[in-house]
This record gives sequence, C-alpha cells and structure tokens, in this order.
Amino acid sequence: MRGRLGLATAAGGVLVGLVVVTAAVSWFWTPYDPTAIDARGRLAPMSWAHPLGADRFGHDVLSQIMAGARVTLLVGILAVAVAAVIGVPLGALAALRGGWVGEGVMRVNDVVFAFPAVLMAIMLAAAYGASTVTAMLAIGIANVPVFARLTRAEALRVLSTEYALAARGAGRRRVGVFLRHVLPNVAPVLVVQGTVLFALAILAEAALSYLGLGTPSPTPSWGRSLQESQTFFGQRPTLALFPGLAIAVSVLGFNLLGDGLRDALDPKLRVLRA
Amino acid sequence: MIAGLELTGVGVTAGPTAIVHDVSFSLAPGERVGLIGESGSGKSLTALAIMGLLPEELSGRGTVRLDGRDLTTMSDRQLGALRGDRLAMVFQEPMTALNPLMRVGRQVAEALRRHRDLSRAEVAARVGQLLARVELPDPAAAGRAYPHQLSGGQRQRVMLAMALACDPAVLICDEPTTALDVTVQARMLALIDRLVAEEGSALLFITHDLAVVSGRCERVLVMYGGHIVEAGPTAAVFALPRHPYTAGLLQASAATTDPSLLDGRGRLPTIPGTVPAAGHFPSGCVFRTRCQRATDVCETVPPLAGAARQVACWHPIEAPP
Amino acid sequence: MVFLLKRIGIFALTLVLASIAVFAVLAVLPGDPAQVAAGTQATPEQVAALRQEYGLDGSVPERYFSWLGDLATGDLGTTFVSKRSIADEIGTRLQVTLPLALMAMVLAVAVALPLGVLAAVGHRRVSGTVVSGVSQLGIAVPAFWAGLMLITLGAVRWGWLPAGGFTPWGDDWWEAVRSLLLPAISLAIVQAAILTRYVRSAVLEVMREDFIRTARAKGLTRLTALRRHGLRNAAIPVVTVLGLQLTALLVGAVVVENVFTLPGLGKQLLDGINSREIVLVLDIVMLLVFVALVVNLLVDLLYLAIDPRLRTARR
Repeated sequence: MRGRLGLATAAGGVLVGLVVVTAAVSWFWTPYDPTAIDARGRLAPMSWAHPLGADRFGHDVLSQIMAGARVTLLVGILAVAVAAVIGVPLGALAALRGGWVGEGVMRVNDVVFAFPAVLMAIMLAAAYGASTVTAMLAIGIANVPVFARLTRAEALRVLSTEYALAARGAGRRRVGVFLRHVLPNVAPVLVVQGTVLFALAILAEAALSYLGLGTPSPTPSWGRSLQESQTFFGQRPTLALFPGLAIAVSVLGFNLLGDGLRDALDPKLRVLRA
Repeated sequence: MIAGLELTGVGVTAGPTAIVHDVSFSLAPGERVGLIGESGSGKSLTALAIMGLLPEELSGRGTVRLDGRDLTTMSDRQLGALRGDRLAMVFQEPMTALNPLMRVGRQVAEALRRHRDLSRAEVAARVGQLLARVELPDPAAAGRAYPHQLSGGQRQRVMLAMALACDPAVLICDEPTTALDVTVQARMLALIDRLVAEEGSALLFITHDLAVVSGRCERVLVMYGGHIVEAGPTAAVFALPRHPYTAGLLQASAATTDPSLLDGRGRLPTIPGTVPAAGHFPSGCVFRTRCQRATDVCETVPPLAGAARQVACWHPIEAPP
Repeated sequence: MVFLLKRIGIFALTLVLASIAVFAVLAVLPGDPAQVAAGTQATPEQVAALRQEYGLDGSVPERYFSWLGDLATGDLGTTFVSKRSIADEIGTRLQVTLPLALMAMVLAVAVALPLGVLAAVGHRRVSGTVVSGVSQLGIAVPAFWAGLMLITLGAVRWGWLPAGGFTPWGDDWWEAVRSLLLPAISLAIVQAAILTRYVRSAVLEVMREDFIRTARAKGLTRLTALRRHGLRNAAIPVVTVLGLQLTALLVGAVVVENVFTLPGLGKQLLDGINSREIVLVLDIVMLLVFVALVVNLLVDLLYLAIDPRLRTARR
C-alpha cells in the first residue's frame, strides 16, 4: 500500500519537476521566440519546423507551451503566497485573541469564503484590467479563509493541550507558544493545502485567460492559447490539444504531490514537536 | 447452547511484525475466564481475532473453533450469522461504539432482526425487555433516545443489551467498565455477573484490573507482550503466581490496599522497566529484559507448559516448602 | 432552534457585507458609462444629465444605499444604453445557466456516489486504485477544455449533439436539453472527479469508526454495516462539499457557456463588464453570491435534519 502511494507521489513530483524545468529552460532558450510571428507558418501542422504546429498568428506552439510554463508557476506561487501570508497570521490572530476579535475575523472569513474565487477575479479584472497579477491576487485573497481556518483550528487545538498550558504556566507568552508549537504542527497541513491551491490557481488562471480576463497578450499563457485556438478549431483541433494537455499535466502533478504529502503526514503519525 | 471456544496458535501480525504470538486456550460452555494484561499486551487484539473483526491493516493466524467449527476459514457472511447470535462482544469505549445518528432502540433491535424471525411487535417488545433487563431507568424512553443523550454508563448498558439480545453462547467483554466512572463500575460489573449467570453463557472477561477478575472468573490467563505467560484457576494463580510477571502484578496491586507492602520509602512496588512498544519486545522470553530471574536460557522462547496450571517460564517461581 | 436563527442571522449579515464588498470593487471601475453613451461630441451638461439619469451622480455611499434599497424592493433597474429591464434580462439568461448547473450537478452526483463508495470499499484493491487514478485525471482537466474536446467528438465527428447555441425552452424543450447536454457533461466531469474523492474519503473515514465494528459484531456483513450505518454518517461531510461545489459549478457554467456559445448569465456578465453596465454587473454578481449563500444555508439546514446531535442546545 505504501509502495503504491509512493509511486503516485513520485509521479507527481516528476510532473511538477517537468514544469519547473521547462519554465527554467524557457528563460534561456525556446525553439523560437514565442511571440515571434511566422507569417507563412500560420496554422502550420505538426512538422519538424514546428514540432507542435503553429497557431493562427504564426506563433510556434512548442515555444508558447514552454514559455507558458513560466506563467503557470508564477500564478501558483503568487496565489499561495497571498493566501498564506494573509491567512496564517489572520488565523493566528483569531485563535490567540479569541473573544470579539476572533469571532469578527471568522465572520469576515465567511464572507470572503462565500465568494467564488473566479468570480472575484472577474470583478477585479473588470476594475483594474486584465493581468496575471490581478487575477492571482483575487485567487489568493479568495483562499485566505482556508488558510486562516486551518491555522486557527490547529492553534486552538495546540493551545488547549496540557503541554501548552504547562508552557504558559511556566511563563511563556502565547505568541511564543504559537511560534514554537503551533507553527511546526500546522506547517505540514498548510504545505498540503498549498499544493492544492497551486493546482486550483493554475486552473483558475487558465479559465480567466480563456475568458480574456487573465494574462493578456503577448505573454504566453496556456489558458489564452486555448481561447485563441477556438476560432480555427475545426481546421486545427491540435491547437487546443497541447495547451490543455499542459494544464492537465501540471494540475495532475501538483495534486498527486499534495495527496502523497497528505498521506505521509497522516495525523496518526504526527507527534507534537517539543 | 452447547459451545466450546477453542483457540489454537492464534496470532496477529501487522505486516512483518507479530503483535500476538501463538495464543492457545479454550473456554468451556458456561465457563468464566479472565484475560489479564496491561495496555499493549495484545489482549484486545486476541478478542478481535476471535470475532474476526481485526482492523484491515492487521492479519490473523491460527484457528478459532466454536462448537468445533473453524471460524477462521469462514467468509464474512458465514461469520456474520454467528456474530451476535452465538458469539457476542462488548467493547471498551461506549462513547463511540454506537451510531450517533440512529436511535438506540433501533440499534438493539437490529441484532434481533438479524438473527431471529420475529414480527415488528415482537421485536419491539423484546427490545423493551432487554433494556429493562440491563437496568436502564425508563426503558421505553431510553429506546427512543439517541446515543448522545445517554451517559457513558447507560450506553454501556445498551451495548450489553445488544450483545445479549440473542442469548449468545459466548460473551466477550473487553474492558467494559474501564471508561466508566468508578461509582458506575461496580454496578455494571454486578449486572454483567447476573446476566451471564442467568444466560449460562461462557464469558471471556478482558481487563487490566486484577481485582475485577478475582471472584468473578474461575480461570485466569495472564498476557504480556502478545504471549500468554501464565494460566490456571484464578484462586490458585493469585495465591501463588508462578510467572515473575504475574507476581509483580499481584504485588503492585495488593500494595494499593495494603500499606505493609510498601517499600522502605513508602513507594508502591513496581515491575522495573516499562512495557516496550509493539514490535520492540525482546526475542526469546518476552519478559526477560524486566525480569530479575532472567538468564541466558531465557533467550529462547519458553513454551507454555503444564496441565491445569500452565506457565511459560524457564525459572518459574516454586511453591514455598 | 437557536442554531437555525443564528444561521439565518449570519446569512443576512454575510449577504450585506458581500454587497458592500462587491459595490466597493465595482465603484472603482474606470471609464464613465455616461461619457461613453453620450459620445465624444456631447457637451459636459449633456454628460452630466446622462449621469444623473443613470444614477451615477452622488457619492459612493449614496449610490450604494440607493442600489441596495432598489434591490430590497425587487427593483433591479434597467440597463443604461438599451433601457431593458435587468430583471427580465437576467430572467431569460437564468433559464440557460440554472438548468445547466443543475444538470451538471445531477450527472456528477449520479457518477460520484457509486464510484466513491467503490473506491472506498476497494481501496486496498485494484478497483479502488483505478477509480482514484481516474478521478485524479478528471480533476486535472479544465472543464472548458473538456468542452472543446467533447465538441470535437460529440458534435463535429459523430454529430450526436449540437456544438453550440441554444434552443429556447418554449420552442422545443427536448432540443433545449440536448443543447445543454454537452456543456453539462464537460462541467460534470470535473465535478464528478472532485466529488468522488470526497465521497471516497468520507466513506473511508466512516469505515474506521467504532460503531461500524459494533454493527459487524452484531452480525451484519461489512457492506450491510456500511450501508445501514455508514452512509448516513458519511453524508455529512459530503453534503458540505456539495454545497460548496454548487457555487463552483455556477462559476464553471459561466466559463463553459463561452465554449458552447450559450446565451446564459456568463455571457451577460462578461458583456456587462465590457460595456460598463455597472448595475447589470452588480445585480448578476449579487445574484450569484446570493445563490451561493442560500445553498450554504440549505446545507446547514440539511445538517439539522441528518444529525440529531445538532438539535439539542449546544454550548
């Protein structure tokens, strides 16, 4: 059983690694400049010149996919960073202060939680114009409640253990207890949540770019490539195939990784770190 | 209701690690046997192995015979026909043992419906009788209640009612009173005594508390580290334990009520060392790392030897002259 | 009872807070609809007059309360340029988006429940691993991409179902269903995959519970014990997810409508944003948020029905 899980996690790691490597490589080299237009090569089929074909503007699909990986990673990192940097302290605050402050924070949490992330992103994009950053800010903010809730739950749990009470009895401040005892225990859960969010962010950016509200031209983005592929879909269905495949592969990778991490960090095996 | 329960070479493993080793004993019809051991001794797992209810990660070995029929070769369906009917169990944790979303009366009725062909009215009447028998005040109201509306003691009584619903030949009680308040424990034990005597069921009573076993069980089995280390008639074993572990247990237990047994500094006598984690017991005699009588020969597993009284030790304590 | 009142109170409060948040964000929207509508030749007075007509003069709080007040009385306002009743517009579009979301949900649940249980019961065997693997794939696939792929297969290649467009319910309800089928399936693929995993996890959790062991000790087989005692308990976390997923489904519908060129809320929302029809956008967003909150409220009420522990007063 362990062996099989390990395989899935490893596969996830490989896929994620693939995306990272592709993005890194594309920084230095791609077969063509992804934004360069090859006027004669519009809608070119797969060939040696264009291994994955060319889109309606004459961009080389392979180069676009490679460069698109950069946006994919940026998107995930931004969303997770925003959600964690805001969410974790918020959850900590709610747990440490309790009372009105704690309740208030959780209510605001619930309000934000009621907003579908993509909807929020659409609104922000409408207000501030379409860009990767706006989109990911929205996705990140929309996921603050999850991180806040996880942190708060774990903080409350640890703070009420006899261990923590003993530490407090010995004079440690609550913040100190939090940093030394809660954080190490909640970190694994947050990491797992981070991979889940990463995957969601990738899908969200794809959807937004598809609607024209995400990464704008000319930055290569898998989602926008899908949108651009729609007009000539009948002629060249492969144009939609590769960006979609790329998205699916990266999301799959992060999800598998997250699952594997979650199983490895099974609470039954977790020990309260001293 | 003639039934004999016979275990031969029963073992429980978690992957490559054995937790319960080669347990063999029998339970005659109507006999009451106590199984004593500390946490981690494997006593609960032995009980689960008998019932065929081991958790998925563990696997069982050996044979368990009920009425001469081998339970270990039966399918889940065949076992299901016997569980609750001929063979019943009361578990340790009353708080989690009942389905929180279902009324208690219905859960008791389920045992009846599974094994008996009765009309709805008959089942309802019988449930009322059972709940009254386990001394629940207002059995009708209790039957309509949800588990969270009952106290721990009340829930345990419900469990007892469920277990005895079909007059089982063998009743296994796994620490039934450990999770209850002390004041409730005595009444629960008395109840179990009475009902088992009325039914004439055989009883396997699992506990860590020696006092509970004496006076209640005719025979006792002492378990440590997944092995049975001593077995015999309760009075004899308690009067004169032959295995060093049993002796240690008795000494510690007696000293809680007899101050003269405290040592020079007023401390309770304890067995030196601590119980190792599962899978970390020493090879050979499982108790040798904590035993003052251990020698080199103890590096081989001592067999459980003897007839009416059995002990698994190379240096058993001899009777005083 | 206290639980219920508290819940409704939170619902109302959240709704109000959400409306503030939405309004605040959109109040920042650059571009002046009045200016755009009046045209480049208009005089400042004409623009000002238009702004007054659109209700765009006045401070932000004034505009907020005016909008909120209208909403409360059921007046959703009219579009700026074409002067159509927003309520009517939304109503028409809802006839597309709502059935689409519901169809997708039904399909997803119908697939996910049995598959999830299968995955849980067989989690140590091949069947479980296979289902888990397939669900992983299902999650990774963007719904709108699935839509595109399905169009290729279902419509272009095999010509079973229409590739786009929508026949109004009034005209031919069967055709309406057919035109929603492919979009619903694209959405359902992802939803089913997500739900399967939650169902699997919930059932696995329940299988480990003590009361399942008690049921088996009574003589029930594994499967019967699971069916009679486990499923209802497993339903609790699953219902939570269903509620959350319905919201995600609505948003997903917005995107998928684009793929299949369905005249639903999605298109209307995007068009509204592009043409700066602020009131229209506000109304649609609030509607979606309202539906999300209502669904969550219903989920909580469902808990009350399922779990008797919630019915007694809790500290």
